[in-house]
Amino acid sequence: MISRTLTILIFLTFAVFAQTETHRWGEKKADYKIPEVSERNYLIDDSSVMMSLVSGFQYAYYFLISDYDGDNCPFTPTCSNFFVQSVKRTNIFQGALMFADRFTRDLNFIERDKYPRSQDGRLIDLPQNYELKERGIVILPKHIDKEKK
Amino acid sequence: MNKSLFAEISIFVFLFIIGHGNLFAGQPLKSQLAFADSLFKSGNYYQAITEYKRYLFFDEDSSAAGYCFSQIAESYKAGGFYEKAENNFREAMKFEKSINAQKTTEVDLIRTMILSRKTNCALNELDTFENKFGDSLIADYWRGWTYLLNNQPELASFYFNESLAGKEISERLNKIISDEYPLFNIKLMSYILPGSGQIYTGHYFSGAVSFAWNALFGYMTVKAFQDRRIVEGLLIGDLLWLRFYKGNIQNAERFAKEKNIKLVNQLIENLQNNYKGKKP
Amino acid sequence: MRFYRFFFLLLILAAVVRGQSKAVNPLFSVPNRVKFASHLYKTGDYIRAFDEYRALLTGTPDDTLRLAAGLALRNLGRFDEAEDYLQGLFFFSRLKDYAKTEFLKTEFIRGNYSGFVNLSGESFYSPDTFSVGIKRLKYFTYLILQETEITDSAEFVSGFAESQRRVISKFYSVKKRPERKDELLAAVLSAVIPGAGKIYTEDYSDGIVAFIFSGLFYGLAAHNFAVAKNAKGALFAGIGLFFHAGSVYGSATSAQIYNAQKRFEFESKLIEYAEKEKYFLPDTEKLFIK
Repeated sequence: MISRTLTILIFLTFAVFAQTETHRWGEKKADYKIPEVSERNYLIDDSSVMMSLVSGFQYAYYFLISDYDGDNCPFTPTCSNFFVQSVKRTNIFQGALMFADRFTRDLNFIERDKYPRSQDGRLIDLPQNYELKERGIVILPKHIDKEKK
Repeated sequence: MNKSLFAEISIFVFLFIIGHGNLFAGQPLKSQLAFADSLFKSGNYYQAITEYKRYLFFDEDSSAAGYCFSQIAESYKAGGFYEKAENNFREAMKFEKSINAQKTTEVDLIRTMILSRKTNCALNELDTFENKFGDSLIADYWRGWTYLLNNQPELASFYFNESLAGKEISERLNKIISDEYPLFNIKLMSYILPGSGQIYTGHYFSGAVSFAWNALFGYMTVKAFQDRRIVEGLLIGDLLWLRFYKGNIQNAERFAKEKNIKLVNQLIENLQNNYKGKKP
Repeated sequence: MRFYRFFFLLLILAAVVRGQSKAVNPLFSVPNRVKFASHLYKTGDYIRAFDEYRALLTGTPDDTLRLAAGLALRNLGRFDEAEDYLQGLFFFSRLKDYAKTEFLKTEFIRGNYSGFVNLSGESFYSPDTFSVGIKRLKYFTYLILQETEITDSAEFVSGFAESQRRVISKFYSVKKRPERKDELLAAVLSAVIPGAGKIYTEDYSDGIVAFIFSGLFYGLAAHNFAVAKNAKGALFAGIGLFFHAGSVYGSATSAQIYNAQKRFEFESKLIEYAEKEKYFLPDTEKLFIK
């Protein structure tokens, strides 16, 4: 149910960012280290033949194209990940249409304020919002400030 | 023993015992504070907060409020609740009377900000600290930590060097800075010859692929313009060649940054576990 | 002998009094703990308030404390545990009406609106004392539930207090005539002109980009066909068609997102109003917050 999902999402967002104590807790060792760039996981999705093909295509794309064409995609998940997730959630045809629409929206550099931003400043654009299932649409709060001034 | 002597002794013992009991009953707050401290010392920070709060609630004179709020803040910090820790340090500062206590609490607040990576806030607070207490040595030491945890080793080294306590860290940082990949040079190389930056950082395959894409799309763009296919030339040039040219620079920079972060992290990890001086 | 026995007993009494005073710090006496728990609850430290109530309940079973523990858990978002505490007061408790009402309120707060409506229809969960408030919250929930049709506006609005009717009737109007965009129309518009559906759903810049992008490839295809470069023309036409299809699909999803966004805004306003009106129910917290 959409309302329920929304309520829980809003509650969780506040719980995470306001550091609410909801249960007893223990000591947590601080991590001084600077976050390192996460390395890509090149594991093939073997849940179906189609997914193996799609994820294989995705890694070939990473290996030969994506790493060299710069940090162009402002979204999270990135366009290629969006495509893989879309196919996984729907089917190859619907996934391709979702990707075509996302790729076109990616080119729109004029209006990007409509998307909520993640902590690292990327635009959050989830594939479940484009499955033609109105009840599955997730509306997230617009801004998550990394550092309150 | 006659009866009157026995009665006197008994009444004396009775009053002593009761009186002693009442003595304890008159010190519940003192005993409560000791209880909270014992929980804090044993690392039971969650419960320690409850007991410090209990003390604050019943202590009408707020005699140890500054200390209790500081301890609550330290407990929250130990649990990773940095926002709450900050709020409680600020609360503690309202009750601190001596300059020394105020100074210590302010530093504790800054240390929490450094840990929660609130770099700008920590730097602003350090300016306030320096203006208020005039202690630039301490301020510079913590500026060093602020920049170090924000991956700015040059600035960190500078401020550690300015402070007396951080000289050793500054020297170790200087060694790391000399081992780091020079970001500017790597980017410059990639601007001049696509792929060379990656090769310099030891990523030969990436360098070769990057060079190949740039050569291909560069050729296609020039060819399209030569053949007067202007729209096609613009499309290939903008959507492909420029994209891969920019990507080649970003890719080289990423490899260099990855290695540099690893070097700084090695030092940070070592400092966190072995450094004997003050840490965030 | 009786003389000695008297003083002997006096000493024993002294030892007992002394022993007791050493064992229990007066800050931990039941009245003090209750006061402290109430302070924690008031200052929003619900987790520690709950700890205190739970500790008190182990030694002193008390319905008010149990109710307070349940509400502290609810404020922490631990709804299942909160409901367990409240259910424990459903029978043989002087606070059973409060507990049932708070149980219903918990169902509403956690977003289980249909569950709330079903339960509030049962006389067991709707005690006479609070029936007016429960009925108002139930009516209010009809505004949130998408499936529910409300026919008679006058009857609906009159169920609320005089001071609430103006706002409620505004909500009622939005519920009856929600701002919606038609998905099919959006898709058809984009099928005719790429991106037109997105203009209709007020995603103006996305619509313009879709138009330019598909149009560019169609233009290139037309140019190549015109100069008899059919293979190249077919390639560009295919790419144009692919993005055109994406624009048709994207317009339908854009309409859905528009509708979901409007619904989200409406629901947010409703929930905000319900909170402001204390869910139309009496303030139970006053029973344990002094």
